[in-house]
Amino acid sequence: MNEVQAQNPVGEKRISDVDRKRVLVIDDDMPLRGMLAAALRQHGFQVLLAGDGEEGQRALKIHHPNVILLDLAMPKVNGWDFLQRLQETGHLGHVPIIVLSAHLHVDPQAVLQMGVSAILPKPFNLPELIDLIEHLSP
Amino acid sequence: MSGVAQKYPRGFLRSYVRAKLATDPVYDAAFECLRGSELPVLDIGCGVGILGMYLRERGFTAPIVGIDHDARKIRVAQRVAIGVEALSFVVSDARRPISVRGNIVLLDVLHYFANEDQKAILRNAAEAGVMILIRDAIRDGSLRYRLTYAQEAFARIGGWLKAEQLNFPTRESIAQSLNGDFEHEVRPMFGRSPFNNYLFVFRRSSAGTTKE
Repeated sequence: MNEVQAQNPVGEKRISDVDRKRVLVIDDDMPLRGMLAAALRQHGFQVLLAGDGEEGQRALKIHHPNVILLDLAMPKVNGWDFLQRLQETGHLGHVPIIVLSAHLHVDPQAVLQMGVSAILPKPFNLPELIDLIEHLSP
Repeated sequence: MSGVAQKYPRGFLRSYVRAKLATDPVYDAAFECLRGSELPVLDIGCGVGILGMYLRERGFTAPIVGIDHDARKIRVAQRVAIGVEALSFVVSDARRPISVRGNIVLLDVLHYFANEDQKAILRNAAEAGVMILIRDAIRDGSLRYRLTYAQEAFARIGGWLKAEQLNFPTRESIAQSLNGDFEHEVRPMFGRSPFNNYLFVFRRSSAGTTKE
């Protein structure tokens, strides 16, 4: 059932939860999480939020997201650790990962070699991110 | 806009919100600037979330996130925004870099920060902002300025404001921090108050001109 069922006053497309693509946001930046949750829900995505790599890993196991948005610089388990854990458990490559990072003095090639699908430097444009999610999500 | 005030708890807070909306022209001015834009709005120093609630009441649909360092106010804002789409409030530091490009609002915020912090906030806003709305009282030595200072100092003593300092910006310090990439205009925003408030509207542009 992919049809749009209703349109609410702020223009959010209402589709059943089963049909919504799930986006897992792993970032410690709370305003960013709030912004992404609001914007992605308006575009019909189901949004899962995690504050670090540890929470992200748990959410990944439980909710099986279609796309992961990942910050690299986070407290506790950071984005690099998260990618490494995925690599160790053989989960890397199963879900498209978009790295959102203000710390791109790191070599983008090194990030992409970790199995990341795309890199978006902060601050980024929301429409660009949404296009990327649409393009990458199965 | 009595509908907005009705969402706040009875008593002082509801009266405060009702009075703010009735006497302060900045909410309508902000709406007029933002209307038609689909870009997300970051409301820095959102307090109890009046602007976000007001924008929704006026039919503004873009995502809005309000941040404030005061957890008490954020809790109030979160409560009143329950069920309101694409409007959220979180405790955060105004000096943090901004991750998403969009419209940025700073109402009565800068004067709580030292000069260097004000510059950092404006630098971050300049990096991510497409339109930046700044309302603050301007330090120009006028009677209005002195009244504003006295009122803020009183609010701090009363505990409503958790501010460590009062450091009102000058017109020049705001304009210079955002020079270059933005066109800007400055409007008096006195309303029915004795305070020395001005609204600075910065719009990203390659031209960088000024209207007064």
